[in-house]
Amino acid sequence: MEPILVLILSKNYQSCIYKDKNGDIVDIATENGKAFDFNVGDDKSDFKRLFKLWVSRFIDILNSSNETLKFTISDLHIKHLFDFNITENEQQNIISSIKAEGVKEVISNDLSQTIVKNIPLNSSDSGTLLLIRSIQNQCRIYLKNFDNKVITNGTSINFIPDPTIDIKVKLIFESIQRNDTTKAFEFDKEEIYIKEYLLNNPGDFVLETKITLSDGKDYEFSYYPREKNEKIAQQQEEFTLPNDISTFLRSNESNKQPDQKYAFYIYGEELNKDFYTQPLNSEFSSAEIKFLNENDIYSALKPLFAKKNIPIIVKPVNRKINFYTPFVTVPKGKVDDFLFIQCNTKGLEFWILTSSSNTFIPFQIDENINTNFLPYTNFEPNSQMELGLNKLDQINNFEINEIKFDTACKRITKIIEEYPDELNYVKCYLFIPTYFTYEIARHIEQQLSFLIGNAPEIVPFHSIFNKYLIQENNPTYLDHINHFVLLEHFNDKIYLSIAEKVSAYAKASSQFAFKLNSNIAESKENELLRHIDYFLKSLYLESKQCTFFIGNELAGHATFVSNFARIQPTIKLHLLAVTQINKIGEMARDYVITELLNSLPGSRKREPITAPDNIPEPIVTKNQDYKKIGLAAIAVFIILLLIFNFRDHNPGTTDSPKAVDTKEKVQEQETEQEAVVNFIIKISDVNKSSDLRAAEIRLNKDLFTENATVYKLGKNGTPIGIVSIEDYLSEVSLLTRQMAFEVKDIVKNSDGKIIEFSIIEY
Amino acid sequence: MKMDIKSRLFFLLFILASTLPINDVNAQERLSVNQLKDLTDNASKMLNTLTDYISIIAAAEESYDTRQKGIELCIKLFTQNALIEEQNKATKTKKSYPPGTYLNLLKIRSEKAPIIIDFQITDPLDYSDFEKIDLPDNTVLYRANIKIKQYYCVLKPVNERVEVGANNRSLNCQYNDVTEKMITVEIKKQKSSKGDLWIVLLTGVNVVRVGNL
Repeated sequence: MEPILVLILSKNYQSCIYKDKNGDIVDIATENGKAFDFNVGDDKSDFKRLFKLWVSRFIDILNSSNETLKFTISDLHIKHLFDFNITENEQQNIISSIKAEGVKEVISNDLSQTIVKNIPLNSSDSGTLLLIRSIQNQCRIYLKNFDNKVITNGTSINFIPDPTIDIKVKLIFESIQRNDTTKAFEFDKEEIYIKEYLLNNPGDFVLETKITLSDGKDYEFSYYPREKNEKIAQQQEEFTLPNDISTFLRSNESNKQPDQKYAFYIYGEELNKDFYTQPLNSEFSSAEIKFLNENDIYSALKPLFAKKNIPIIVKPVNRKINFYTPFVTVPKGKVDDFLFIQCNTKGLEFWILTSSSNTFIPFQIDENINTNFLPYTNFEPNSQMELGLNKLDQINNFEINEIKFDTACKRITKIIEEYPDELNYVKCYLFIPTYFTYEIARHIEQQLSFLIGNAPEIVPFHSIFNKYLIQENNPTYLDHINHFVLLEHFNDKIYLSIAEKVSAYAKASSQFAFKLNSNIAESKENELLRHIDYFLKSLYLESKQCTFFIGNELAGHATFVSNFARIQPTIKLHLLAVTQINKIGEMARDYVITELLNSLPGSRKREPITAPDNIPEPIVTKNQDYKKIGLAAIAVFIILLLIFNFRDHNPGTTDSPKAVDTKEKVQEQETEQEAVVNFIIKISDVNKSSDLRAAEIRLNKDLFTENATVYKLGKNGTPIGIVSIEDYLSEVSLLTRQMAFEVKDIVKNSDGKIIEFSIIEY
Repeated sequence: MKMDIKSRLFFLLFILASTLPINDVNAQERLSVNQLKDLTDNASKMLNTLTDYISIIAAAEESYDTRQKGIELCIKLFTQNALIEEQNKATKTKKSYPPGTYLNLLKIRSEKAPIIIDFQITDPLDYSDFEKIDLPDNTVLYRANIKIKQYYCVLKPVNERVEVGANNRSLNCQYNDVTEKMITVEIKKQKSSKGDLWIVLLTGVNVVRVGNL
């Protein structure tokens, strides 16, 4: 046994923990229940004193728990974890201090530095997430709140990422107490993997992955070491899909113990609601499943579990109307198989996690309460992870795709050139499947940087909606983008979706996803289908590893900017650079992108993407009277302009500095107008929740001065109200009916902030 | 000194003019049709806002902050002395509350059990509905009444609810009623930072009758 003591040291908090034989975390940095207070940076001798105290306690505990072994300080491995607000010098001082005490090994760990990338500094309101590896290849996640109290009751952990609270992520690798001699684990690799995982999942581990619940207290997820676990691999290879669930259960009967229990976890907003995780292969609308209730599910499942213990249906507790649904309460007692039930647009999708194989078996109950197995894919996290880790070995083979990347990037560049007015902010985001390792991702990033001269940001594909976007306070991600175009390959289908930034993590009201496969021949998108089909086939022909996107979190929701707006919002598209794309695929993608552009509300029908079409979208005026007024105003403006120019006796009227200046002002005014309009469009979008709209207001409040005023005008120009900007924005954010409006007469102060504007609501 | 006829007439006119109140000119000021149309549109919007916010506050689905904001904004739709009336269909007791009190009451009730409140405006507001009223202070206001139907349902606990269609949704209600209410809207001139401004405000919500769905 190699005892490992983990030190957590920061300016504000210090702890010394280990895990006891029951798997509980024991904090020995306390005395009479109270944490020791000392300052890491200022008083080294104090640290030494405490460190000795901690270590002697730890050794005492170890020695008292196992009489056959005696530990001394030189048997100890110390793993330190420093908070990022400790300087490097301070860290080094402490490490030296630890070493000087005769500790066998101080395991280096710079993970906190890595994780910090996602956490804005000086975030006072923060929680701390601990990841602690336990035996049997599993991780347990504990959340520590900002009082540094470990919340051990898993059910009370609120993993709903709150944009106002940043969660600091810390990693602690606890004692690896393993008896296997296969040396399957390679600590560093695991560390890398977990690091990558954390980077991909800032602020939230739980719902991104299929997670088992062990005992109602802890969240766990499984992962596998770098080396392939032969036993599990064999199980997976031998596993064939049964025709129905009863066959499956019968086939497993012999392997099960008589007292085997099943637990059902139902999660989803409500069973009759459209849940935020709409699977990519959804085909039914939410309306079709509204009659499926808990009893239906129970009735459908009960016969399948004949002769077995009747499954326990665990209801979600403390359900809040929100886009995330935390795990449910787990009944006391051990269960062997877990059945996860997720409500989605297709009906109900289930996964069984068997304790014997750790395999997720997806199946669904359709609207007729029939159970169907879903195509067996790389759904289970285990194989994803294995795949990812195995790919470490293939990193050097990645160059073969360089040409394709080149093509893709050139294509993107071309689109930028062709649509400068719409694609005014295009940056290549790389959606990396999570099974790619961090190294591969970095490699791709470098390749792309070289090719397009602009370092793309790596965005793990499944994090895009649920994770990064909600970090509204994080300025590094996606602040400038309104829409995302996603091309996905999943379950033998290509999915294409557009998502708008803000709505993506809300319950989306409409979906814009082409759900395509070669069987849907009658679709009106026949041509598109053909391309996609080619694309798909070519991908398969080319590579067996072309499951780009795994998981169903990447729901393609689109809530378009409403068509009511008089001013066409600037559409900012993100184009997805996919890996391993070939020429046909590229063609398909281009075609698809063109289609998407055409289908955006307010867009004019465009020719295929190769045709240049960069005429700016005119400002559309709804009200004919206003058109006339506008024309008259323009006429008056021109006359005035001419008069002024003639008065100056300047023959070059159009080029006179004054005229140019005025033009610039007009253009500036238009841009301001557009900015205000876009902002109001966002916050008046009735498809978003009021809370989201309120968040949008908080993000953009700098547009206006604090005491800015809004003048409301009627359709006929009658002033009908004067309200403060705060009241007006609040009012708009609570609207439940879509409004059409016109913004005019924007006045700014010297700081460029708007102090007043007029609005006509139609 | 004798004044000639012209002088006498002028003097008489001067005396008459000087006895007229100075703000009499204002008293004659009326809204043009276009102005009244714009203000009527605004009144309709305010009614929508009120009904929407009441639904939001009562449903308790949005965050506390949002509902609170809704209450604050609703209060601003009313005049200072406005009252909102409600009546229980069983006890028939009518109670009147200032808007803020009523809305906060709704919020508190909804925290115990969500309340579905739907409104139906039976007769949309038209500018011709406004009646011009000359006030004793020589000012003018325009007043209109709008009838609405309010569907009020206090939901049962989640585990007691059943799947229902639109026609029998009362099955999921602990209590429900349909109340016919009258909302009074007034348009009046007020001083503002941009000079005098015609403002629309709601002056009260009264129960006409209450009954079952």
